[in-house]
Amino acid sequence: MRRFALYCISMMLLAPSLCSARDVAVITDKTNPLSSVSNKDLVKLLRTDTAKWSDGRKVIVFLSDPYSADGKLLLEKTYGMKPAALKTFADGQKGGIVILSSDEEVVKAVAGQPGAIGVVNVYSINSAVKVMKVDGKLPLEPGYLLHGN
Amino acid sequence: MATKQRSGLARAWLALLSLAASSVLSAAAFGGEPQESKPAPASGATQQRLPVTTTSAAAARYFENGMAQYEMHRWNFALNDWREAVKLDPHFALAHVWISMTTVDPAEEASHREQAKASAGSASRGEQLVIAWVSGIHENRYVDGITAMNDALSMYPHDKRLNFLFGYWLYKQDQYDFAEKLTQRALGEDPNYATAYNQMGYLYSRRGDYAKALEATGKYVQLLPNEPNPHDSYGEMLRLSGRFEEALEQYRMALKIDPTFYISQKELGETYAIMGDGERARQEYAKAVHEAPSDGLKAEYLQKSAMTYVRARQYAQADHAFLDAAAKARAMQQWVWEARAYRIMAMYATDPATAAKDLEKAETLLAARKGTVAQSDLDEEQARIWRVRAERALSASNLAAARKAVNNLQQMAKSGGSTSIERTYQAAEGTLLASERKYAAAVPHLEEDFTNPISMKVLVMAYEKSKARSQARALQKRLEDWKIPSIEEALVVPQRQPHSGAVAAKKMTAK
Repeated sequence: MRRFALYCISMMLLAPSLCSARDVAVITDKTNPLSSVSNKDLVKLLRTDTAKWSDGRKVIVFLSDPYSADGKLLLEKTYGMKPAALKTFADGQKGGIVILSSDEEVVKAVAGQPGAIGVVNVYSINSAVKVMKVDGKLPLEPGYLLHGN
Repeated sequence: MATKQRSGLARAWLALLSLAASSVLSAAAFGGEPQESKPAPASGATQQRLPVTTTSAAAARYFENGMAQYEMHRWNFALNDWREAVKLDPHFALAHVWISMTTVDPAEEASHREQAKASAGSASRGEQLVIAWVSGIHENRYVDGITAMNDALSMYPHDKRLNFLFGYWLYKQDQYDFAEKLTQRALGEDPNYATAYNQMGYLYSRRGDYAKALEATGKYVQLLPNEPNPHDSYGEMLRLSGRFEEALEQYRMALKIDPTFYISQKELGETYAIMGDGERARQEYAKAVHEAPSDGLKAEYLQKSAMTYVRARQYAQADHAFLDAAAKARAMQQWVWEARAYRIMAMYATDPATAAKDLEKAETLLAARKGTVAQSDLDEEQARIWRVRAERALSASNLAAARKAVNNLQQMAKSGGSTSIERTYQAAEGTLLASERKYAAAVPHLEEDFTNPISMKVLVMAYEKSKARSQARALQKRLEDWKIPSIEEALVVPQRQPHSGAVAAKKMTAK
């Protein structure tokens, strides 16, 4: 009986649900003159290896929950680390990388902070921020880098 | 939403005063009677609902009736009302928007989208954002469209209808979390907003949570017991749960309420088809063909009927039925449906030479209609033909021909094709990679086409071969439980078909 119950629970955990495509958008504040970034430069910005923009403003990175599906996609495509490692890494950046609890908070933070760059699900964007092209492509365009399932 | 009208007298006055904002004279609550004249608000910031700007009170009533019909999923009636609205006020931007969003005729969609854009200047800021959303999502400028959608939601967070409508679009984009958030927000504004329960039901069903789906659509029935669509939706959730007889009962109830509710008539056919009762399914589909309000739907239902023979592996009868469906599609000038019949015949054909001939025929038919049918429709069907070409080539171990077809698809997807074309390309690429035993590389491509049973079947194998066993088991179960009829389902869903007809999938499973 107990085995049967365990079987039922494991089957429930395996209960099929549809995955869906997701694109995460790289956003900056609207005063940022840049509209496009290469993948290579994006990784440097997100890791704060590039500490300042070309106009001298400090780069501040705002991210949402690294354990979310969007967070994992970003980590896989850019940072190359696990969520826990990102938290440790962010702690070592002395305010250069700020992890917030939702996309809405990231959009607000990026909109209000000159020099900010952030990453959110593309369906969270609004006109308060600028969406950057990555390797010449915007989210939801074929071949966009930060796309996954 | 709130309706804001300008009277005919006001319009003349507006012209004299160069459309000064203060000249907007009358307003009506959305869904209510015209009210006392009121000045237009300076901006939408303090309003609860999206304004609806028109110069005609009668057009405003047609628009609202259309929205109510839309919420009841009577889309053909909604379209008729909105078409009347734009006859009365040709610059009625929001009516153009919803015709554009609802019609299945690509020419009508594009024409009304353009008219909405041309009328945007006299609409409110909120309406302009809705127009920008529609334009963005139809013109492959998704970032612009989504930006406008979220800006409109920021302006009118308490507009239940706006939340529901954007939620519906997000649902159709398979963005279930975002869709749920907006649908719940609509319910937060009005806990008796019936159509939002319907939407929640479909959202739960997409996640495989049929208990909650039944609960939500049950509430929908409770709120609107004398409408056909709630019974239709509840019936669908019952069917997806495997409760076929109860589903049939609900569809019959919907038809008793409204004998012209052709969707439930079609669903009777779908349910019998899934149950394996092809003969009864064909009888019900025949009635649906008769009741269908457009030639496009008639052509579609004829092919659904023909698929019942594929499900039963009665290929000679299937050929006969598809040829008949193709001839009827031709007579109704449904050119893409005519080509599609031949492409489907190529999908199940057991003889490679016959399949090749059918694919040639399908391509020739499409090519002949260039310029007379919307290019996007031709492209989507052409993409599906290339996918079948790739699969047939793989089944014949002709990698070069398969690669050529996949390259054609890739080019089409790259040049700004639709989501459907992108998914078709990804599925074909994934199938090709899997046939080359590059299973891990195949997985992300196949995952893009996650609602297509043929792709799902190849993906199960790719998961297994790349040691992702829990995903393979979960997907296999989903495939076995699949109860949404389609040619792909008819070919590969294992429990109902002892002999898989998915050529490529079968070939690779055997390796």
